[in-house]
Amino acid sequence: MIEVWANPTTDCASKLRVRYKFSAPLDLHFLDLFSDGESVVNNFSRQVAGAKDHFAISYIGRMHASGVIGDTGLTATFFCTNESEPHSIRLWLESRLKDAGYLIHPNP
Amino acid sequence: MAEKQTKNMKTYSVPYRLDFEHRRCVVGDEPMLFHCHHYNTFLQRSIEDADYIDSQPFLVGAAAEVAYAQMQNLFSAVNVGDEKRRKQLAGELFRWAGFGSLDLGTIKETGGTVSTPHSHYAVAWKSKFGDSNRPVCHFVEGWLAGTAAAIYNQPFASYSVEETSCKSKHSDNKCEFSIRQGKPNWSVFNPVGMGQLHDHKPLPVEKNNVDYDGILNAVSGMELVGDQNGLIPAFGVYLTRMYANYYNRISFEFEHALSNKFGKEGIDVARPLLVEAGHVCAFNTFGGIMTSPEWDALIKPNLKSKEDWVHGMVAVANSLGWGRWQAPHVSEKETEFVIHDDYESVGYRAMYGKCDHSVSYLAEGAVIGLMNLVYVGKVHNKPAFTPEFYNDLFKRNTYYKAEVVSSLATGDKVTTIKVKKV
Repeated sequence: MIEVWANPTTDCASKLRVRYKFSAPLDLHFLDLFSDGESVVNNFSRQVAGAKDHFAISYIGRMHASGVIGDTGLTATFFCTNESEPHSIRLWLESRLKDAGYLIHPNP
Repeated sequence: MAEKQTKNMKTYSVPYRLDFEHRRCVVGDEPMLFHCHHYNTFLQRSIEDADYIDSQPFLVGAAAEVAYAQMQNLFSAVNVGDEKRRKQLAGELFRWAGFGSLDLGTIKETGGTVSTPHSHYAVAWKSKFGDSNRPVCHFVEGWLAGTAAAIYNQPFASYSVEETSCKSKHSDNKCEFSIRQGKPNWSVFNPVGMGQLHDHKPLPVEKNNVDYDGILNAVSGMELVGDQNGLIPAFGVYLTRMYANYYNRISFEFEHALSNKFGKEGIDVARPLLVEAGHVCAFNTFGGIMTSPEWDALIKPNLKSKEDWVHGMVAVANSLGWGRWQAPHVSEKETEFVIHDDYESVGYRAMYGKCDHSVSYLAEGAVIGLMNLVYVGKVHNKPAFTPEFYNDLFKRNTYYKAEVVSSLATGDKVTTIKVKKV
């Protein structure tokens, strides 16, 4: 089972930002968990020798997350909406990870 | 495999041109460049805080200037004569650039009211400074006035505009703008477009582990465009692809207003405020970039020294639309930054002719900020970019000083800024 540690903080616009650390590297299949959102994969490895590929996932106005393929980190920023506040959106993300079999440690 | 794969992402039809030779992005013959919400709000507040000058007319007029020129050029270039299509294209550009979201369908030739819950300046202001006691979206006011004139083929200064509700205020939950055909309530400037650009003669750069050209191509190819709400969350900050000549006009009109009021002392007051806006930019934008997952993927794997970190950030700066940046030799004690066609000098010369002093204030602040972050702030450890950290790097201590060795604004071929450890 892959474990995930969450380190909540705020970004420079005072929005809830959580840096997640996974016990195993992230690969492209990780994006399958978010197929209902917007995603982009920047294949930097094809453009700069030695670089890695980068991914970003967005749920408009709710969450923006990004990380590096092959690394163990995911940085997610949560926004306030008319329906939800950031912590509940964070819970939504972590529930999705939990349902996919990840073991979440919510706080450092 | 393609250099980029996207899924479900909004696509735009904004026609833009990347001038790699001059490190510019051009839309409708107006240069546009990236800055973050920190710089946008800090610069505006610095100007407005000088309440002994009347800044609102030029904060609005500068936006009308660039919007009118760009929209006219765009509508002509893509052969859009239809009012509805013009409004769609203008609204699309507004969102693409990260200014927020606007539906111009409520405007008629005589004017109208436009409202939005998503305005970059309002959102940014509130997050950075808290509630405002007055409207802050002067850029949007001017943009609407200029754009409306272009849509309806009116002369430039054909509309007055007022923000009647602003989400930066505690009492308001949206931004609303009233546009009226008639005498403008803002300063009227002549648009200058691209200005005079030169043939660059890049200097040799010492050996380093940074692929400048690869990074330029990679960052230029990224989807740095507004989301559905017209925000660009990237590199840990909120970017806008703003008009170079908007920043230029408001900065230089500010300097001139102070100079007119106080003589040389006015310039001595304006300069450090404008340079400090550069510090704020470097701290937040550069800091955000250097601690972002994008950096971790694209640049960090090849960095082997602090000097490489400086080169890496200079490489990224080349893709922001600020001009061609070089750092021929980097060391902790002293680094010289050479900028070909820096956007501040180019804009000043186009607007006012040669100057008797350097006007590359953003650049001056940014290079100090970069050296502070790398050699003092230990940015490689991903510190938290708090006000306390900023104060320590820029206010309580002076670690680095900048000297402008040459300036395109005064007639030199390039702008050179030497940064030395104190």
